[in-house]
Amino acid sequence: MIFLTVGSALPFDRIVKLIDQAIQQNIIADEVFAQIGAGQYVPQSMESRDFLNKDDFQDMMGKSTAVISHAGIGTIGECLKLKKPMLVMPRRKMHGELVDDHQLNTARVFAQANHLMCFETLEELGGCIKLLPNFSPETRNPNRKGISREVSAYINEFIV
Amino acid sequence: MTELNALLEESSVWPVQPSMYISTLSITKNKPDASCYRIGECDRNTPFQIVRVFQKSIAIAFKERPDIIVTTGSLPLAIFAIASRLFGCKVIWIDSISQIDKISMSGRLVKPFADKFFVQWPELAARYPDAIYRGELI
Repeated sequence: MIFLTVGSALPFDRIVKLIDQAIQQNIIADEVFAQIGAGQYVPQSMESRDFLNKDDFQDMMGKSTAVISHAGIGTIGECLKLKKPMLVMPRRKMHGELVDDHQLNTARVFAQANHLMCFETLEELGGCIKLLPNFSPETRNPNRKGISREVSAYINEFIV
Repeated sequence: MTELNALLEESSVWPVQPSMYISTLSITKNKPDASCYRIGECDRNTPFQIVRVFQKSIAIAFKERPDIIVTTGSLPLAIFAIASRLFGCKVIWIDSISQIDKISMSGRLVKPFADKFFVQWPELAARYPDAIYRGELI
């Protein structure tokens, strides 16, 4: 099962429509379950909910073999944590989906490092789907401890 | 919030734990002994909401007088940080990892008020000499 999620804040009809099309054209053969937000477009070829609570979201993340999502850092972080293969489509400024193109930059940089795959068109999506069975995302090495220690030192400095 | 949560996973080393949480819309109340506030969402295209967020921020900052803010953004939290700064609060800002070419707009806004300013890309640290880079949260 592929889990499509647009995140908990804004709808993202463009991705929902594209995935619906991909299913209809057999580009995606797997079953897709979608969390689509409060958008206008009603998916024809997949089961969907507007929003999922935290438990249901985690459940779908766990059950899925791959995740398709907007390039939001929240979902990217979740997928990396679970080592879940991920395909992202950035929300774009030119479509009024965001105030800038930081999702495009994020998607490109993370895709270059092989943490995920990035698509913007049906054709690119098709390419990603073909690569998906052999795609294992590169893990990252965050430095939470190091940053936290530094923050801790500043807190110490400030409370004196 | 993902990035802030990632940081909080390692916050046990801090000399004090957060006694107040500020979020935009949905807050996860996982610390029953801390006070939680919502200040609402806004972005550069919603000037009316920006004013609302600023009003709420001033009211909360005046009442609670936070000593130190640690935040990963975005714009509403930049506004809250600035409002609190007016009452003498120290600001530790961590710019989001999703900002790659340049620091975020909210980061640029808060930067003159921030006591410590982290970025999560070495290229950004090179571009902004007073920014701190110690790796990534994600």
